[in-house]
Amino acid sequence: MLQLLKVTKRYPGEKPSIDGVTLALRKGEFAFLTGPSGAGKSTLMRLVVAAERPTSGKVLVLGRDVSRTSARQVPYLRRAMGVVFQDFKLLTHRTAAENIAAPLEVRGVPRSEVRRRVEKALRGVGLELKGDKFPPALSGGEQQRVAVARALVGDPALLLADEPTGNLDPERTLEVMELLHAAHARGTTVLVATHDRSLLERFTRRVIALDAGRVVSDGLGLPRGAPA
Amino acid sequence: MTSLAARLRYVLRRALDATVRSPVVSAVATVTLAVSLFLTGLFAAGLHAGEALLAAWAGEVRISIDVDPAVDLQAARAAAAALAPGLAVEAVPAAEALRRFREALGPDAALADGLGPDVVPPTIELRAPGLRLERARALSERLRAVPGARGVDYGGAELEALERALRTLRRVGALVLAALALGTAVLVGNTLRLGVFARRDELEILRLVGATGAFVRAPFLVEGLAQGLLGGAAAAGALAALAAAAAPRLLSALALAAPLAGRDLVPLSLAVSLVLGGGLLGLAASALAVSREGTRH
Repeated sequence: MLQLLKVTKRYPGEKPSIDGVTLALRKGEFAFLTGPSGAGKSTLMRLVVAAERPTSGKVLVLGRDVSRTSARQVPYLRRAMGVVFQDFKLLTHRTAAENIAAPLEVRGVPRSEVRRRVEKALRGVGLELKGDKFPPALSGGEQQRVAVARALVGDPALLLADEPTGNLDPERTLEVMELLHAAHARGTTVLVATHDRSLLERFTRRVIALDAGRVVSDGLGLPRGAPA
Repeated sequence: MTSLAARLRYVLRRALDATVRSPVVSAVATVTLAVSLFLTGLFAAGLHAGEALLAAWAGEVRISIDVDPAVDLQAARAAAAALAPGLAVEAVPAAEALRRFREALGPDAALADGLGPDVVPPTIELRAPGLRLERARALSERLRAVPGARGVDYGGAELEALERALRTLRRVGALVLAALALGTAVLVGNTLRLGVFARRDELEILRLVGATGAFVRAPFLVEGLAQGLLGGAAAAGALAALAAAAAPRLLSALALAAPLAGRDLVPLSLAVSLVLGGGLLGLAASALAVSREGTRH
């Protein structure tokens, strides 16, 4: 599903943000990507969604080399993924339903089909009564649930979540994590970047730990003493 | 609904939504386009009126051949008719020529007292309705061959001066219009870029959910096109209003402008050109404003 082969990302005049990382995520897998601030988690996520190109190495998503994908093909590659961000990245002037509809609209999905799938996605995140609300009228947890619904409405093969619970209290954090696990249970491959140690301890999943742009551990659960 | 129709509907909805959400940017862009198009239209209307005048005056071209009084006037008339087939040719004896000269002098007719055929000779008059200036000039050259012709006058000096002025105006006008169009496109492009900048977060999100560059750009292009069409329509309307208000005064103040009709000042073709040109200009300006959006990841 996702492979990084000796990937390095170096910005001019700086140390590598990602330094020779090699890892693979199988289809249907759920993994956490962890590490302290500046470890390279977000850079790695950006490389996967083709928002950045690696300085060297290969990033393969669904067998396609992202680093060699033309700018014209990038949007089509992104349609195979869903992305959730710490700051939600919702369009504040569009309702929750319209935000969730965005990935379908960019694909030219017919309106009736968009409506049907958005209603289903809203039900899936427990916001069926709040589809007509604008993001500022929703709580942080609700906004993140809208973001998760938007990421999942296109039935992506790969779901990337970059610090999805970073702005949420513990209760809302659990709600969002349950949504991500539910997506995983339906067959979606999930990669969650987080530095929240409590999440890693609570959910026993594969944990890939980064530090200074390198993979320092990769295995089930958080190894003792690993940076997070 | 097809995928294309869904996309089209989305683009139109987003363009309208953007206009409503950024009324100041939209208004500034539309007014800039309208002012630029109004100035362009004013210039074009002036040029068009000048050309209409030239055509009207040229339509009354009269060629006059002064003939030696000693020459047989009828023979000269026949020679002129042979050189200008199809035109009305009239032989005007010296006495009649003098009478017409007096008539033309009006209240100063006394000035012609004592003038003889040497000063006001018999003439051959040709009327050439609708004859273009260059053809009138060529015909006048040929008519110099009429027996006894002393001189040929087709009133060309004034017409040529006007034609020269119009030719210069056309050249200057083309440069001015090109500079104006470019300046407007850059100015409006920069104004619209403010709108793009204000919506950069939205565009980033759309790109992240899989929007293509064309999909991101399309609402801006539609917005620019609509603003251009609106600006063009406003400019055409303002020009028509100005023409309606100023034409009667202009026509009464300038006797020379009498051949002009109101429609000569702002013809329909000019109004349509302003609207369509506005649309193209708005489209170009918005394309300039979002040119970088298609290549961003």
